[in-house]
Amino acid sequence: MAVNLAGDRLPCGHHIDQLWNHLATGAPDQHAQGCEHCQAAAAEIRPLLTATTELAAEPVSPPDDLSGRVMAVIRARIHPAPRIPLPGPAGMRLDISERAAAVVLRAAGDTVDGVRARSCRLSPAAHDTSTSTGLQLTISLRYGVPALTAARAVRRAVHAAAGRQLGLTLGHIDIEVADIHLT
Amino acid sequence: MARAWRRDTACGGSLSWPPSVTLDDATLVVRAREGDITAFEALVHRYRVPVYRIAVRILTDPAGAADTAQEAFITAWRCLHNIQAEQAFAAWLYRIAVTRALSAARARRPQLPLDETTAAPDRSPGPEEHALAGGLRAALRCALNHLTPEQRACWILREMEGMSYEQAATILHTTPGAVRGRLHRARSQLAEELKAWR
Repeated sequence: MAVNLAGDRLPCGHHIDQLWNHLATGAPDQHAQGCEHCQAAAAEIRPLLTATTELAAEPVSPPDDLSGRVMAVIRARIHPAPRIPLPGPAGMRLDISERAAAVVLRAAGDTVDGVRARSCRLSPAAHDTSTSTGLQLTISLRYGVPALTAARAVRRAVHAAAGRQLGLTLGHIDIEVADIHLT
Repeated sequence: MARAWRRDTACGGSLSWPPSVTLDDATLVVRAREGDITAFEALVHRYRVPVYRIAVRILTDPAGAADTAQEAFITAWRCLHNIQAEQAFAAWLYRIAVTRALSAARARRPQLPLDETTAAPDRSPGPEEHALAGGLRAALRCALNHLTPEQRACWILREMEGMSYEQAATILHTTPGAVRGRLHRARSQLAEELKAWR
């Protein structure tokens, strides 16, 4: 029996997609079992389904150096970040890029249970070593973790890391809970 | 699909970097957008396999697929500020990769006079070709090459990557109805080309 598989339905009214899904999952399809149109279509579909399933299960591995190639291009093209002067002996400079400082501060935020630090912005005053520096941090909080408790712990952690690792004194630390994650 | 990315390296004090947690895509995207290369590297590591797999299945050319995957990640890095919903990074990345793979496939494919709405000519491989190809899977690979790149992409995303019609449509810049239509035509043509295996 000639079967047209290009349409939505078989002449019996059965959806071809439905037949395909039944064949793919092995679920019983009572109509199809007793229908000559469905049986004819199934006979045509089965080799294609088998081949597609087998092909999809074939492992595909990218070249080992794909990540390295991508990151080499990106590192070569990245623009320099603004620098923040760090306190130190008079007459000698010690600067850190805003990006590097953000890495330190986010990592400090991550140490708090249930917190993932996201955006990390130091205020413009960070470029003046004589004043304390403001920080705007956004975080994702694990469901169930009290925001106030987490914020207090984050402020403590980033304040300590800024002082210990960077020599920066953080003043205002504004935190925005941008997301809640479940696990 | 997403995999854990762990690489604990002591970095002074009590901190370790990268942190020994599996960060979600949205967190990594926000960090990468602010210039954190390590966060983007984690995304590349997480998605290099599916991006390459989709590209190689569309292009059937490992070297071309590696180039396409590389370009897709570099484009993603350049355009991170365009993402509206950080948690939808995967679909956004696949869209970039599929668009590039389809462009590459169209560029190297001789322009056929038929569009996908017309019936395909009979290009079924004969039994000798099947024997040479070495099996049902090889026969399907051969048959997939006879589809238009757009039909092939639909088949790959829906039937091999297991995406919904809506997900495939988002990635292919089209509607679920158009995906459904392309799949039906692809199914008909592929089944016809595999008729020797019934």
